[in-house]
Amino acid sequence: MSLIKEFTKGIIKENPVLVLALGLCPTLAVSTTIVNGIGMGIAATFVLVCSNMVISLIKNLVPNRIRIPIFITVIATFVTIVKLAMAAYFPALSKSLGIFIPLIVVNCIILGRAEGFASKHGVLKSFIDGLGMGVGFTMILVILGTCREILGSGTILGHPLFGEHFKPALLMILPPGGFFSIGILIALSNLLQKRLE
Amino acid sequence: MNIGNLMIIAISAILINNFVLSRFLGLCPFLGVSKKIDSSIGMGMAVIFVLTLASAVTWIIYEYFLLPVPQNIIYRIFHLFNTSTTPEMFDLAYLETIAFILVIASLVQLVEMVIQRVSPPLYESLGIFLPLITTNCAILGVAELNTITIHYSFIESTVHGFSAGIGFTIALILMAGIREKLELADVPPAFKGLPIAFIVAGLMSLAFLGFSGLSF
Amino acid sequence: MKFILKLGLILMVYTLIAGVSLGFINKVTKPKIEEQQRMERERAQKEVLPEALVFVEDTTSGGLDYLIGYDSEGRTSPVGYILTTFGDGFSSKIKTIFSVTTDFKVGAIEIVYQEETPGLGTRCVEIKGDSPEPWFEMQFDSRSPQDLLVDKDGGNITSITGATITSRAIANSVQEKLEEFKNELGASKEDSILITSEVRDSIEIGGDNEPD
Repeated sequence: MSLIKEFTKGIIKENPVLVLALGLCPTLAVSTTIVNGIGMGIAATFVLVCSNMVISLIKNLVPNRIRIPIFITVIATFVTIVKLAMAAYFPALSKSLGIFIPLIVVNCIILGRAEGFASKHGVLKSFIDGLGMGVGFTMILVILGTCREILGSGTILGHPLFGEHFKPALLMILPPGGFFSIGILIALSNLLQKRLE
Repeated sequence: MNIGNLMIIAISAILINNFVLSRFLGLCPFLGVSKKIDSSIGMGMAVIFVLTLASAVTWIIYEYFLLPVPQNIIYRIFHLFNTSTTPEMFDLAYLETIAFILVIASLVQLVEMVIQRVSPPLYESLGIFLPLITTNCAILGVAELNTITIHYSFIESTVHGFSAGIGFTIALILMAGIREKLELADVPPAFKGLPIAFIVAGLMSLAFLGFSGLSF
Repeated sequence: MKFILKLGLILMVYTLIAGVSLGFINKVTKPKIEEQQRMERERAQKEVLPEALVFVEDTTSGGLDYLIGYDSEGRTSPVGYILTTFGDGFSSKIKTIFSVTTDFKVGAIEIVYQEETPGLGTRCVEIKGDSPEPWFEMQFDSRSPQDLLVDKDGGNITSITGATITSRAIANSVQEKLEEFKNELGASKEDSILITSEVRDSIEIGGDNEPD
């Protein structure tokens, strides 16, 4: 029962992007298309789950003073695994996510969960927590990616939606559009959270 | 190496490809430390300092320790003992992410210690911002851009790092100025706090988009 | 002091474990990644110079690196050349490869790397309708160096709406490289014809010893 709670809290109540305001850089940078959002989401979820598990396994073997460098080393290792695997098996996605794959290392969601959750809880709980947070993050990426792709390029998953003469609102895929859409999304979620209470 | 080229790199990193407003790097401190102008200046200075230093150091690490080239230092050392070794045997480029982040983390720690010893007043004003910088993705971002995406030379990398820091600081101070005023504004309740900060950042980013018309 | 040493040692053990496991992963993925890059490169070469069957790297001492394409294994007269050029786009260095015909015109171009603004600059590789190739790239086919100008600069290459910097970067980088290539090869063209005919003679004389 409590495991289900651990899982769902990452999606709604403690959504890493909307509520905790973590991991904003990749959220805005890669959410120009749905495919990029999904790719980034899966990559980050993989790193989150693996690093959470490893860190909760080794939590008693880590001296307190140097725990942050050790956590970062663990995270960087999994990020490199993702980076190499993506370059080998999904070269097109790896090309379009570019620099933001290595930057998963400094995605505050991952270090935040390592420090705030995995270093205090057991393996199973940490696994569920990582999965929930990852799904919550991916969800936001997909929502933003869908809005920005439809409005900004007039396509969905690369397929034209409105025919030849549609002039898309380019602004949405440019950097300002990223800022506007995340601002509006957070405001909407604030409104919703208040209603639910 | 000409000055004009360096100028172009600097201007484009400050205005056209501003790290925060156009590349989306370093957003966490941009939103976290932009509530007061004073603290944003402190944060900006600390970031400029670390970005410049990190650009230089990570460039050296990449070119002289990780890439399989004849000037690779590990290869040079092994070559002294065994002349049949080739640079390709020391291809460690795949360790780049982990090497960079560890270098940056220890660099930040070192800078903190040195400043504390050498100039206590400076430490007073910058000290609290330094630990936050390790997880500022602008630092790792500039290292990746310098070495892998764009492949700058040493001087170019350092200039790029420095001007990226300037660009970050400009955006941060502008944002802090607006947010101090925003405290008094009548914002719809749902937009209070983060959402309105994002809308402001979007407007700033829109304004900075105008610089893309600059041509050389 | 002893305490710090101990911490350093522990940290080193962790990084060592990380390094070794990554080394193992790298061993598995490296050939795959290299294979992908090779396939990508060969595909781009075929795309811009489909006539050629064999590509040989230029070995002359000139400053330019280029590939020479031949239509047969005999390698007698080239059908074209392939050059690589870099242009400073809006947010990235745009890497373009292009072929040059024997009369120093552009054969075709292919943009192999760009990280421009999605929806604006990235439209330089956009494909319209049933066309096999991006419309922007197709405009470059069989142009001489002096015609490689975008409309904003008085030329007649239609630039991408809202992305003049990207369009100009590609056109100018191709033009610059082509001029450079023309100067380098044009100057020595007489010699090279002479050399190739000599080489052909020598092949005919000592045909059996030829390795390929």
